[in-house]
Amino acid sequence: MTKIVLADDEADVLDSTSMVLRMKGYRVTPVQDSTQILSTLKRVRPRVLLQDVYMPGLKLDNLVRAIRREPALRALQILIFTASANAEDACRRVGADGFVKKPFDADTIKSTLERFIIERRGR
Amino acid sequence: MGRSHRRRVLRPAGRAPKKAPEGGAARKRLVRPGLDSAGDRFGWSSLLSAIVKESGDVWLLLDDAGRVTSAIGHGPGLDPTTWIGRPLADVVGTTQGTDLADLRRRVRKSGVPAQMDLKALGAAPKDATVRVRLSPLRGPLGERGTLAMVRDVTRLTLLERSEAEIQNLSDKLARRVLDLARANRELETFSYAVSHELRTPLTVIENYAHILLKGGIGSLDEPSARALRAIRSAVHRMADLIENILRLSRVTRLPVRRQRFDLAEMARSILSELREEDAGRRVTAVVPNRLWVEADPQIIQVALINLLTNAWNFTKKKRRARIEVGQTSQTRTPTYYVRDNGVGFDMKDASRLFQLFERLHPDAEYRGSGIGLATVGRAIERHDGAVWAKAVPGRGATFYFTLGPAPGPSAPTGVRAEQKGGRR
Repeated sequence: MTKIVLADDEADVLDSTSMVLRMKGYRVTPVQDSTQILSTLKRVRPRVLLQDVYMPGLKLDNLVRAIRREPALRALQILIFTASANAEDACRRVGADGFVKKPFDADTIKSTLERFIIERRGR
Repeated sequence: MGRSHRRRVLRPAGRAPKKAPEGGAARKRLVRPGLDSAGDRFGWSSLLSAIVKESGDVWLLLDDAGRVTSAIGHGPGLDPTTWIGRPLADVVGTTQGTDLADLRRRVRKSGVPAQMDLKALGAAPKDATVRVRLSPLRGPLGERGTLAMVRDVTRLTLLERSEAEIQNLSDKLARRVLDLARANRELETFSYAVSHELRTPLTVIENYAHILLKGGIGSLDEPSARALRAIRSAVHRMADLIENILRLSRVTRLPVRRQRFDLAEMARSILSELREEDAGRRVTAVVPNRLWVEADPQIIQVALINLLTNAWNFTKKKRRARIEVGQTSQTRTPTYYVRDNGVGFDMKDASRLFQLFERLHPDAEYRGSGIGLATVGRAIERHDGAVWAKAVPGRGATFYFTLGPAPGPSAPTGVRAEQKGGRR
């Protein structure tokens, strides 16, 4: 079962997205406090981090750099989870692997995520 | 020292001695050698008279009572010889006689030259503005007088006024630019608010509607399921609408930064995304190997996404859907096109195509947001290009566009490469 860490400060988004992803067969660990992201990643060792762009106390580029420095998290796929107008730019700016736009289509989210997971495996 | 020189030089014509009584030494200190020798050769009086006439100014000597005792030079429509014995205000023909008298008294008292501009009504042309400059004079025997220079400054005043007007307009323009920049910033904030503040709650609605529909919370009867499906469909429409509004705002807002890129590659990548999202469809795509253009890739990408998505959607009922991207070889200006064999439209509606919120297809199945083609129009307009369409109902549509002038030395290369790519 593929593990996903989902980080978002909005409780409704966090709860509902976690639920959708669980229904799609993922094991989801939700994180609402940005200071807990890195430690959760180290503990859970997920395949994917689905990361909200704007969280209180979060500097996304710093987080991405810290993750990339962590040998244990080498296989981690960082996807930004954003309602922003230009997700592509945000993704490039922080050096993430991809993005999932808010709102996402719950019917196709699994195929979107699998595409990223397969891509990473192929590297 | 200066005063003695001026007195000598400005003595009324015909009365000035040919040589200065004070002797040559002082004069040599004051007058440049060239003028000095000219004065000696032609006579100071006639030389000064010539210079003054050429200057276009009128010089007057006033006695202590402010009456003209002598005059040289000529202004437009002025005959100084008729002025002897008249007060300066009469000569100038101004109603501001009191101001002029005040000015003369001030100059006489202070010993410092001063000037004022007046509307000249008398002998001068209508609406002329004259500048009267007064300097105090004192004769060798202590007699007092005033030297007056009368200059027509009508054109100069107009020039000064238009300079002030230009300055005023340019200040206004600068303020307007600042206003626009502020409005733009507000628009960006607004775009962000639209995208973030509307999309985040939509995420929650979409998620729970999906969870409920899939029985994630409990089983549903059919009417409830139908209601939830309608909610989800509305959420998807709204998400599309927000996406389209943001694209339009991006295309309008972003500065156009031209660079050379491959339009064919861009089209292939968009088409492959459309295929991924709609895997059940079989669509033949015809795209040349290379189609180099000189344009802003970010803005053109938005236009191309809209054109190709339209082509994709409007061919959905065709058994053999075909979408073609290319360049026509018939025109001198490189003209690109996106062609499909879909439902097309009636050419009588062509003029409404690129207008915001205009929808040509009443059929709910093809109902768009009315923003997509307006965005295409805006994107092409930002490149000083043109966009138009040809269509036959039931047989497809072709959207043509040009990308305006492609400045810079790399343009010819781009054009050649396009043609090469187009023929393949």
